[in-house]
Order: sequence, then structure tokens, then C-alpha cells
Amino acid sequence: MNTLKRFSPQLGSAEAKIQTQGAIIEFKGVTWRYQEAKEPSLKGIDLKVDRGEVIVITGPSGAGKTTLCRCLNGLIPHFFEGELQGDVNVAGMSLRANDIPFLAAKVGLLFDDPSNQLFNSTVEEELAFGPENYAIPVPEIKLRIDEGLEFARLENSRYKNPHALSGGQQQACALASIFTMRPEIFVLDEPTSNLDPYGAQLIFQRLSELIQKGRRTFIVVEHNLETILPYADRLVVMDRGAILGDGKPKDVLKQVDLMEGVDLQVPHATQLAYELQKHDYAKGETPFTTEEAVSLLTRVVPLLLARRPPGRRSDPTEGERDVTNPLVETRGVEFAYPDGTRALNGVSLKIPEGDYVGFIGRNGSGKTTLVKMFDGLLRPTKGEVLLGGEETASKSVPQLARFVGYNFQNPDDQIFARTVREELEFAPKNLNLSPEEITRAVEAVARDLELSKYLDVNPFSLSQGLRRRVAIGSTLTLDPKVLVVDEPTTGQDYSRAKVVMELCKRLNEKGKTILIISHNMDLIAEYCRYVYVLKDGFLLTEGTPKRVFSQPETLMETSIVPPQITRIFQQMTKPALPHDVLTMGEALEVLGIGGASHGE
Amino acid sequence: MASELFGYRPLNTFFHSLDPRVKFAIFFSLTLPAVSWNDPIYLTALLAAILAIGRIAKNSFRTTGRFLLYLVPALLFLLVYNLLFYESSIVSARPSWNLAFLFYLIPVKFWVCPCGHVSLESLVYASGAMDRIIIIVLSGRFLLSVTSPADLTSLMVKLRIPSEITTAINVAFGFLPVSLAQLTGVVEAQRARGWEAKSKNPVTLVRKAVPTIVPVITRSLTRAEFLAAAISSRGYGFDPKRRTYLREIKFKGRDWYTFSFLIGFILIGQAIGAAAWGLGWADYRFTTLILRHLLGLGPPCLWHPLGPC
Repeated sequence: MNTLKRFSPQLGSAEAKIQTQGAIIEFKGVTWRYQEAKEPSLKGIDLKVDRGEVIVITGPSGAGKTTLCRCLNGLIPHFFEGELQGDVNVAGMSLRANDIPFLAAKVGLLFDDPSNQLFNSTVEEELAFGPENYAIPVPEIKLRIDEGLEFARLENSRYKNPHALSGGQQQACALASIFTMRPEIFVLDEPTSNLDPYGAQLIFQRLSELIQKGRRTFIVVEHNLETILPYADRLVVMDRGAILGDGKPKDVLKQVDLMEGVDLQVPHATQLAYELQKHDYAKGETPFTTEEAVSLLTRVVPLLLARRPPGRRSDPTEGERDVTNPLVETRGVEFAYPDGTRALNGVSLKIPEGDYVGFIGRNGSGKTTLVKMFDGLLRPTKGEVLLGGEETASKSVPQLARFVGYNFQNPDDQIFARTVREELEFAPKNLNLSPEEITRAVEAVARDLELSKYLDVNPFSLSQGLRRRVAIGSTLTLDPKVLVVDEPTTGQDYSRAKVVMELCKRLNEKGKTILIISHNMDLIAEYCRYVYVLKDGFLLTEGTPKRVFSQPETLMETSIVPPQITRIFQQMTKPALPHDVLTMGEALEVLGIGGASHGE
Repeated sequence: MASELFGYRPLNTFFHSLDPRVKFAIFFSLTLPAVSWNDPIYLTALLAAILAIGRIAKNSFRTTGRFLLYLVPALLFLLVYNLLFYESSIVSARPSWNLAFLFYLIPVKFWVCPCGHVSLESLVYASGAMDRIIIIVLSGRFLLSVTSPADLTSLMVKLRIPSEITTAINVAFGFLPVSLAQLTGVVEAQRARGWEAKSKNPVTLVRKAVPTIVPVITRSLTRAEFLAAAISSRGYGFDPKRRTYLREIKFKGRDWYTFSFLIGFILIGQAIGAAAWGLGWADYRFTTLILRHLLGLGPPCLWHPLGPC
């Protein structure tokens, strides 16, 4: 650290002449281990990025993607403590020899959660913060703010508190606050993972604009490959701190064994090609966009149909839904927050016992407000909520907690105890259950959720996946009939989110009614038997996932896009294919080349 | 919600656009007369001026009213205290005439009661004291609602306070809404598991708060790390001495006019107040005399209530 470069007149401006050729980033045998971590997060990384390239990095949780991003602007090793081997050269500067402010002048880093990176009182101040630090003259800062506001489409929010914006706008604001620093390299670490479909769309639009302007270099960590890959020059696949694949996106995606070996959410278009290749079709083709997949199927399906008849689909969601004795019911529920914001406008629904229900819609559409009515955290300003046929108005939250278990997005919002056992005992103790009942409930839940061996472990020392399980378990010890899981997929990679959905599926099979709020349409399509779509506090539409996702125009109103496989089948005209295919397994059944057991 | 009642409201009004030093001058111009004089008529006129200024700064009467509801316990305490202890504590400002008895606070006959002798004079004096508190608090609220954390930062920079401190204060203000939302989330998460913090025993109450305190602390620590990383990633600490500021505070025309007006207001107001006080007019006794006239209680002398008639 003694040799760190401090301020010098040559580096006095964040503005740098942008060259267009040559490597701008070079990792040379980089290994990094966080202090107190047993294993290194990066293991011997060698990576070269040319100026102007767009690199997409993907991989499961724990792959080292975020750590790699942190190396680019010096957060590693100058902010996070640990052991670094090798070096990184960024825009001609050595990572070891230059402190964060010098590297940050060249590298703009956007984090996944917008609320953790906005810290000024107004959007204008947020955009000014970076240039101010680099001593940019005020008239120039003002120009940059105007450009940044225009870029982020936030001209009308100049004086608003950034935290008062929607999730997508917040992330756009964070992106604009980097934009005003005019970095040569943009590093975006899962920029859409915490956003709703509308917010994600907003960010991808801003990002595509930036990329199309050219000249800058982009490193984008993203799970949603379908949307980002059309812009990518290269795709890098990481797992357990190492780079497993690096090359042009199609070349990397072609390595079926590699892609299937890593727990990734490969685009449905690509997965479909893999399956077709297993049956000697589509050799050498690697589509990732819907259009490419449609083009491929248009050529392949006639051949398939000529050789074997189309398969029959099994549909677990079909059949009558008996709502004569609903477990959960709302009648014309309205709700307005104290500031007058109307969150629900006459929502009526009936959920039978044992259902697995999804609530989808933009942030602010009323999903969370609605489910909070079920356990009394919020009370309707008009209308009724009934649980098991009884009105909830006269019941307290603790009373309702025995009926409805509510799990929040972040398990760390509720974990506080010294051991998992204490955490699981918390709810039954609050309701004054007898010691015998508490022990019985804790042991049963621990067994069901495979937490028995962690009962005496400090929950804070567990992985995030296990903490989520503890959080769910701590509501199940009251044996509620209904389990609400709010945004289990937000901020999670696909495999982690799927683990939660699988857990809910197991609980559902044991009789629990599951209510899920999620922005991940693939998971909603795969797991839910019924879906409610909310928009501006109204119930926009409802039905089985097949019915709901067969209405793309209606869903567009709330920026929801059906799973890619559904869109591929919906766009097929020659020959036409069913429009209500939801999962890969189902698609293969239709094409007559597989069973329903295919994973996503 | 809370920030709407107490905090900065980013708007583009005349008062928002003023130099922060002028905003502080407004605050002092409103609070100085309030602590100098105790005549409810004068103070009510001052209160009306504050409400008008607040309205120009787009503080609605409705939210001001809701804000004042929070003051009710303090005002009630002040009222009862002044009624109870007026006779024993007010010596130099005591009128020369006999107090006009109205009622007893505790009229029941037992032990030393009836007690809590309430007179017209003590009632007027107490209402003046309440007026003062309302004026000081509303002036403070006005100052907070039009002064952004960046204004405060700019002011501190002007006062040569190190940028480490100014940035920390700015970030603390900017992050307040997130912290409030986080607290709400934690409380709701625990309530959903049947948790309630009700207890008459303060020790039990603290113990019961642990399930909310621990997650708030752990989440805050995590957030603080992310936040510090985000701040560093935007070049913080590059060269604090050369750092520029979007808002460089500088007196403009409107600031000079407003500031001059305020100086005049303070000087003339205090001078007139002192002169009037000499005549006994800027004092609660003046209001009392008017009321005595209206109630037919016969004042000793309206021309000079402090002196003999």
C-alpha cells in the first residue's frame, strides 16, 4: 500500500482520451482469497479484454463473478481485505499500485442492488457526486447532469430523493451516476437481478443505448442471457473461482457439456437446440434469441413431424379448480396508504386449500400489499378478507400467524437468534405454546426442512440458502395452512431460486397452500397451478399459467414477458405449434422428442 | 411519511432557492422575537407569518396540522405546568392588579385542595408559552423542509469543516429513507411470527425488542459495507482539497434582499417591541387587559398596564 499512487496532476481529470484498439483489461494469474475465507474466490484468472468489447460473464452463485468485478476498480485489494496473487492491468494502471479513486476514474462499477448505492438526497446530487470527487468544474458537471438525466429518462425527477423512485428508475439513476463520471469501462454486476420485469426492461434499454454508442468497454455480469447476449462480443462462464469457458457467445454455448455441467439458466432457445441435437437435428446450431429459435424450428419441425407423430402433453394444471370452500378469500378489497396512495382497488379472489399460486406484476402493482392482508400486517380500508371462511378483521396478527406463515424477501430481516433452534422456537413461543408443543414443532420442521444437524448452529454462520430455509422453517413451526413467500427469486440466481420453489413444492405436496410472489416467469410457469396478475391495484387477469401466458398482449400492459419457450411456440406459424407451452419438458413432448421430466 | 412531516422536501420554491445562510437567518428572525416577547397577540401574528411562509414553501396546512399533533403532549404539559406554577414562579412579570380567578384545576375538596388556581392572567401567560413553542418548532421544521443535506454540506464546506465529515453527514441524511424502510421491514417480519413488543415493564420491553434490534444492526452493517464500497467506487477521496461542489454557496441578489429584509425585521421589530414593552404593550399583560375589558372585569389602566393608573 505504501507504493500506492496518490493524486498527481497528470491524473487530475477523470476524462481520458478513449483509444479504440488494444487490451484495456488484463488479468494475469489472479488468485484472491477474502480474509477469513477458507477457499479463494478467484483461482488463477487469466483474462484479456480489448477496448470496445462487450463481455458477458455468467455463472452460478459463488462462481467469483462479483469478486472479479471488484478487482476492476480496485475495491479488491484496497477496500476488501484478503490475499491477492497476480495482478490486473486496467487501462494501463496496475491494480496493486493504484488506489480505488484512480481506477474508478476509468472503471464505473454498478452493483446489483440499487438501494445500496444511492446515498444522496436528490437525483441531481447523485449524478454530481462522482464528477465532484474528480474536481470537474461546476459548469461541466451541470452539463453532465443534464446528459445523465436525459440518458436515464429522469429529467422530471431531478430534485426527487433517489429512494422515492421505482426500482428500475433507481438502477437507471445509479447507472447515470456512473455515466456522468465518463469512465472508459462500464462494469455492471447483475444490474437487473433485483428489479421487476419493467425495471429490467428499462435498464436493458439504457444499456443497449450505451453499448450502441460504441467506444466504451462493457463487462456485464448477467443471468438473463437471452436479453444480453445479442449485444455481447464474448461470453465468459465462471464457476468456483475459475473461468470454464471464454469466447464468442455461440462458440461457448455450443459446448453443451460445459453449459449443462454448470448450474446455469441457459436460454430456452439454446436448450431446445441441445435437445434437438441429441436427436440428430440442428447440428452445429446455437440459437439464443427467440427469433433464431423460431427460424430453427421452422426448418426442423416438418422433419420431426414426418418421422414421428407429435407427443401428447400432460398438463398438471388443467382441470376444474374447486373454489366452493376457499381457504383464502378477498371480497372487494381496497387499500390506501396514509399518504393517499391507492394500492388495491376492489380485489376479489378465492384460493382453495392445497393450491400453489403465483402473484405477478410490476413493483407497486399491489402484490405485496394484497398478501400482507392475509396475515393482518395490513388491513383493508374497504372490503373483507376471509381465511377458512372466517373474517380476519377482528383477529390479531399473532392469531393470524397460526393460519398464514409469511416469509419476507430477505431472510436476514428476521434472523436474530443465537441458534437455529431458538430461531425456530421464536414463533411458537410468541404464541405461548407449551414447551412440549414447541419441541415437537421444532423437531418436525427441522426434519422436514433438513435442518436437524444445524439446530445448535448460529444461523448467521450459515449460507444464504440455508438461512432462507431457516426463515421459512421459523414460520412453519406454527403449522400454518398457508405459506406466503415474498420474492424468493429476487437477487438470487436461478438455481438458488429453484431450490426455494422445490421446497415449497414439497410443502405443497404435504398439504400446505403456497402463495408466491415472483418476477421469474420461468419458475412461475413451472411450479404454480394458478396465477394472479395485478396492475395498479387491480386484478388484471387470472387463470392457470397456460391461460395467463397465452395472453401476451394483456401481459404486455404490465411488462411481463412469458417464458422464452412459450414465446418461441407462440411465434411459430409454419407449422403452427400450441401457444400454451410453458416448459422445456412440455415443448419436447409436443415435438415428440422427450418426456416431461426435463429441467429448465 | 416521516420525512414528509419532518424532513427536507426537494421542491423548487423561492425559499428552497435561497442561500442556506439566509435560511438560517430566517429561522433566527422568527425564533428571536418569539423568545423575546410573550404577548399572545404578537406571537399569534408571528405564527400566522410562519404559516404563510411555510405555505409559500409548499408545506400544506394539512401536514402542518398533522405535525402539530405530535406536539400536543408537550403543549398540554406546558399548559398545565404554567397554570399550576404561575402564581409561585412569575414574580417580575406579575400584573399590579388582582388576578381574575376563573376556576380550580382540581376543584374537589380534599387535603390541600381545591388547588390549581387558574386565572385569566395565568391562562393568557400559558397560551403565550405554548405559542412560543409552536413558533420555534415550526420555524425549525420550515428550516429542515427547505434546507437540503447538500445545503448543509455546502454551508459546512464554507465553514471549512473537513470533507470527511460533510460527506458523512450528507450520506446519513440521504440514507435515512432506506434505514426507515429497513426498520419497517424488520418489524413486519417479526410481527408476522407473532411478535409483539407490548409490556408495561421497561426491562421486558427492551428484552422484547431484541428480535428487531439484532436484524436491524446486522442489516445495517452489511448495508454500510456496500455503501462504503459504492462511495469509494465513485472516486471519493481522489483529492479532497481540490474537490468541486455542484452547489457552491454564494449570495445572489435574492439572498441579499432577503437577508437585508430580515436584518431590518429583527432590528425594527426588536426596537418597536422594546418601546411597546416600555408602554406595557408587547407583554402578555396587554392581552390580558384587553380581555378584561371585553369580559367587563375592569382594568386598572389600558394606556399603561404596567404602571399605576
